[in-house]
Amino acid sequence: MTTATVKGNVLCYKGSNFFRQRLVLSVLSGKPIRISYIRAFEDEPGIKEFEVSLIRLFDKITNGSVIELNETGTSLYFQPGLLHGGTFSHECSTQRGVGYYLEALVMVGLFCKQPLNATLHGVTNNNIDPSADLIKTSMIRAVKNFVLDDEGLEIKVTKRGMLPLGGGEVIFKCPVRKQLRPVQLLDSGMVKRIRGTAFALRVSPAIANRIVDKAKGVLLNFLPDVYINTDQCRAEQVSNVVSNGEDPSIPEDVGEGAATRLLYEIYLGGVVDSSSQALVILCMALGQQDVSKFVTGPLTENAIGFLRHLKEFFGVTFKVAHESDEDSSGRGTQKVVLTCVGIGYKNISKRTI
Amino acid sequence: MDKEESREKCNKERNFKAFSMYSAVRAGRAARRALDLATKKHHLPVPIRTVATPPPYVIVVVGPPKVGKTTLIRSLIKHYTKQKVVKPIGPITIISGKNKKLTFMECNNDLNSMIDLAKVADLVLMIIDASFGFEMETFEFLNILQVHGFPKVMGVLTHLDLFKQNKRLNKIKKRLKHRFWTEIYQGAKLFYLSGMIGDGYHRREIMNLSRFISVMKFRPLVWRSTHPYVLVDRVEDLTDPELVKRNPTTARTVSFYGYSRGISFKPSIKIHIPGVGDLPMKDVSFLPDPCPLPEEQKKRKLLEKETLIYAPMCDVGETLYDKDAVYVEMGQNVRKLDLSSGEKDILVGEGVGIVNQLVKAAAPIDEACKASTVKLFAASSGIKGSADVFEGVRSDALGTETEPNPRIRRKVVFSDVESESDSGLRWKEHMADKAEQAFLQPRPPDLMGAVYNTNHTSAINSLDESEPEDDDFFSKERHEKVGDQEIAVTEDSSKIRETGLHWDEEDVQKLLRNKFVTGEWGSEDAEKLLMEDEESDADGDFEDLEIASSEHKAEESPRDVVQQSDRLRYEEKVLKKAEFDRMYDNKDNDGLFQEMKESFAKQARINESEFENEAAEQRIQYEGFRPGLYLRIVVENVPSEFCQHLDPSYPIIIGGLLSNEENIGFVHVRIKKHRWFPRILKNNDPLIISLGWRRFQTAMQYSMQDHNMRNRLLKYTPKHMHCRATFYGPLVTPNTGFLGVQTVDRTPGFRIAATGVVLEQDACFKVVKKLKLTGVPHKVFTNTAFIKDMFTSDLEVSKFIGASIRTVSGIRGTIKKTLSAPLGSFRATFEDKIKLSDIVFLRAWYPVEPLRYYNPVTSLLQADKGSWTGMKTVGQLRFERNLKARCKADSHYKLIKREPVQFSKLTIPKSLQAELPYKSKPKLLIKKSEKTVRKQKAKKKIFKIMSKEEKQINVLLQQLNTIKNLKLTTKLKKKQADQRRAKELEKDEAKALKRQKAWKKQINRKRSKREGVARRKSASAS
Repeated sequence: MTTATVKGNVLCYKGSNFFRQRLVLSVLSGKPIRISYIRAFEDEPGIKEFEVSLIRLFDKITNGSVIELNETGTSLYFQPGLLHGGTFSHECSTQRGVGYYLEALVMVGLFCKQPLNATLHGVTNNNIDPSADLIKTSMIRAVKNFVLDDEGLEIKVTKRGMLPLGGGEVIFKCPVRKQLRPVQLLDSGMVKRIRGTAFALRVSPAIANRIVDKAKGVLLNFLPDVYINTDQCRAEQVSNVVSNGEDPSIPEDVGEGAATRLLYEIYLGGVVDSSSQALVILCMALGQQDVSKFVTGPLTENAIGFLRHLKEFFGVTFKVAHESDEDSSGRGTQKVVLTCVGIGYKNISKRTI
Repeated sequence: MDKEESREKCNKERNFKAFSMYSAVRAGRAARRALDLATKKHHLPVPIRTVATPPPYVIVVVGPPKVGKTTLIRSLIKHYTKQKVVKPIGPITIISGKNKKLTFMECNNDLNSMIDLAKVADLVLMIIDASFGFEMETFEFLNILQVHGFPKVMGVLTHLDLFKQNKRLNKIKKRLKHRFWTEIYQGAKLFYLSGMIGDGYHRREIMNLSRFISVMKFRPLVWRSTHPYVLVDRVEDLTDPELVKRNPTTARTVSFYGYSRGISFKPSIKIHIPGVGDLPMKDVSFLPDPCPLPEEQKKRKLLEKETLIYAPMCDVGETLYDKDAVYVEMGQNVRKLDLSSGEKDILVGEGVGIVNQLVKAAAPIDEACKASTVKLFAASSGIKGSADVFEGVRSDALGTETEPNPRIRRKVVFSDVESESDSGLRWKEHMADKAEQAFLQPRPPDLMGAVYNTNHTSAINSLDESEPEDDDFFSKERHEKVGDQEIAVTEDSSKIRETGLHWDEEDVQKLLRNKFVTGEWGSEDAEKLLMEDEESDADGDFEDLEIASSEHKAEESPRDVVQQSDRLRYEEKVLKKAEFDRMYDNKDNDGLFQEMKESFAKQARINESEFENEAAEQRIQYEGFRPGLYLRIVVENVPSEFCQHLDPSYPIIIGGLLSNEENIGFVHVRIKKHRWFPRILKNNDPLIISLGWRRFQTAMQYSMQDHNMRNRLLKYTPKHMHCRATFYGPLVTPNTGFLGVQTVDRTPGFRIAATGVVLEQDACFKVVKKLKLTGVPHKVFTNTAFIKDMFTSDLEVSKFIGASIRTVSGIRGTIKKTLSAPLGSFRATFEDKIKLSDIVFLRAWYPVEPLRYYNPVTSLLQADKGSWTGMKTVGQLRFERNLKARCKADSHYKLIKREPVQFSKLTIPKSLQAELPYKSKPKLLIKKSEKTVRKQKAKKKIFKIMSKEEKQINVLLQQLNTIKNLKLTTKLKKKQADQRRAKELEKDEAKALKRQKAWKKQINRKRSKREGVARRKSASAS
């Protein structure tokens, strides 16, 4: 990634990397950004459909944003307005999953003027983005650490949708909060039970059961308390293709793959899983002027990019260190402790009485 | 009975404890009252963010001119430091105690200074001339304080020696005190300085005042505990003098100095200097404290040499430490410098001592450096301080970090393992070992560098660092050309797609076996605890009582078991008691409150200890410049007027802005005209507002919120009520207070025009104005009417189709369709038939946008700082140009004369009256004259009881009377008839006479005519 050059008040970036992070942080910090050379030398230059859709989404939740895109779409100027929120629905691009958009909404949702009630249509599960279920179980739980009252913070997957046509529907509701609390999330604890959902769309229900059987087989090596639900009847609109973008595979492989990934995630460890790292980092940085601490597995590239961007947008530097654990054999990778002092971010959009 | 009662009473008095619960109701009430009082005392706990060495508290001395502000500061400084400051200008920092520093600042008589200092003052000494009483400035300042967070205020009455009579003095004191209390709070401290001795106040009184200052406790104020700020006590112009010489108006580079206050000062933030504007910082660094606290804390009192004073703006002290230079004021000592006498240095100051030492030094410092040696080990020979030695050391140090053959770290992405079955097998062979290695291999020592140094392109995901030898299942990442460089492209997804290791292998499973509850529990493991407990015998802590006890019972001998179980029971009891106490034995009975306080205290402890052991630079990187550090802030592009017209008696404040506060938008506020301000405020008139750190002029648009949340435009602020206002200005956190003034110059009267609080902010606000469109019907059917003159075109009508309209009398209707005939007319339906003479109107709401006017008050850039004028109000302009407000003749109010309505008399025709039933007939009696009334009253009927004879007589008499009457009436009738006949006869006769007369007259006239003619004939004939 490139570092930002500051021209007046504007942060200037080059390249298509971390597009979403930059928009999110720009909206939160109120700093305008200019991104140039977006895939400038590629066969299909400029921003892609899913990024346009993201910009549209930000236009919907903000008030007074200025968006300037050049003709080829290789250069973007974005001057954020104030976060407004409210009720709306958004048609997500099928190039990326709903998770791509949902993640951005989770990051800004607490700082809107009106409680967010977003209905996103698109692909709920694909192999690039975290699925709506993952965000529901992992990210929402992570955010709940930072607010005292989490009433109304929820994600509902009302319809599942797959490639190529999508057609899924996810409802995201988020309350409005004035500020975030500092947290000390140091103990990741142990795995006591495993719960899950297996789903199959437009195929025989037996396939979901085959997935469950195999996944359970892998997981039972570690823990007896494993229970995986099968979710059958939520498919509304899917194409005839069974696969989710990957090569065709048999249900047993899918089940084993899912279980392996879960074990890998447990192996990496931390208080939250690796996909929620950036979110927790953001919430810590935006907290009150107190020390927040959090233990995680090895930092993902996304999280590292986020840390760098946070420094540029908010001037927050995290202390990143390895956890000094005396006895960590059989407990996965060595953990990383992230420590920071919050900037005391306040929700300036929120209305007072 | 009485005896009984008295005995009881007696008992009650003697043994009142026995009767304490005599009345349950009363006891309940008492308990409730006690709780009420206790709860009343609670304040919402605020987070504790104190630092080990806090910045000096700012004490601002305020008052109108000639009340003794300078004298008080001089006396206080003399009391603290034994130094005489002739002219205290600018902030003066002194050490007031073993761990307390104070900064004194005098507030001059300028509204700008008052506003700025109110935002930074920790304690306000409000000086009041008792011989004169309160002045407007005092009240203005108090109102400013109330808006920007109320710091501690202490009143000081001076000029008390001007009162000759003691009685009058006491009276005045009491009056002033009570007025002061109503302004601040009941019982606010008011000090009396009885009079001057020499050029200062009484020593005893000043000492008392200083004691009060030293025990003062400061509650954190909201704005200051969320923003960093610096009260500048020294300013240096760093611009190249040559540039200034060439162009005196060139933008300057200025370094500001002062203690960091509020919260940590981050180098990345934007700053605002009230009176100058928003400026980006070029550089922030911290210097050693120019006024350090004494190091040893052994003695009770401060030594005289430790009572330092630091006041760069008013020529006190001799040494100034800068980042790259030290300035020493030598004064007269230069000439007296004696090289041979070293012991005399004790008498001279620190800075002069340093200079003396420098002068005395035999060799220059670079030569001394060259000659000096450093011994690393006791046995080794000294290393000479030459350039190559340093270089060698540096390369050695670097060598430990970089390996001889440095590996280029590149990000790798796993391809699908399943599709590559052959290589998958190979991979499997080493996977466990690799994973083990990856797990055990030393991490890069500098995670921070890996994250924040952008030259590291790779992620530090441990498994990604595997050697990229096997090209079969490692694919290189995509790259993107960006201008002249190439960067790696990432997917922009938070999901990781590696499936990692093969968990069906036994030794791979080992790697995370203990992450599950089925694995080892580490320090919490029951077995381990048991082992430890056996080793350390009796006094071990019991983390998990149940498991431990069950394990114990199985293994140990019966006697031990008995002892053990006793002890366990005891411990259990202790735990239970503690739990019980925690739940029920809460002294203040305020669990939530206590809990909050505890959590804040815990967080404060973490804040304090977390970065304690870090190096100073690291710490600043994480935390920013902590409050209490002495900062040097270099700012570029400062307007030259700032340096040209620098006046140290005006406070310079560097206020830090939070992330969103540099942006400008529409701010919606609740505002109230100050009750002492003489006029009401006009819509869209400019108003100078002090909000946050800033002072700026903007145009206010006043509105009032209706019950349906509609914001209606107001022409003027209400006189005694709150209203809403919208203006264009910088964004701040909602709930921030602000105040508005119309002018900042020295106008008589109360200057604070309005106060209020920020409610919300947005990119636009909907404020509407009522608009009534009127029309008249030109044709009326039963429920339908054609209306004209409301719109001018069909297009306008079509935009309002479906809109509700109304007549003046309240008949409602809707617009249905356009009509072709008169342009802009339409068909409308109503709930009833309307009249052709009705006026139909449509009530609409027209949105109005506030002016986009934002002009920071640049008072510090003026030569005369109090005379800043921005845009003038319409009223001011009219006054200056002697203009009158335009108004339409139609809008004038005229006296309306209303005649009392005269209703005509109701007359019912007689024929109708006759036909009416009796009930409906008019029963109006003619008013009787007084005479008849009297007569009727006089004539009283007497009823007689008559005998038969009398009755017969009476009847007879009646009959006779009747006969008589009848005779009389017939006679009368005959008479009347005769008279009538006679009259008629007369009439007829008169008529005949008249006729005869007329005849005669006619005949005579004819005759005379004929005679005349004959005469004329005869005459003519003759």
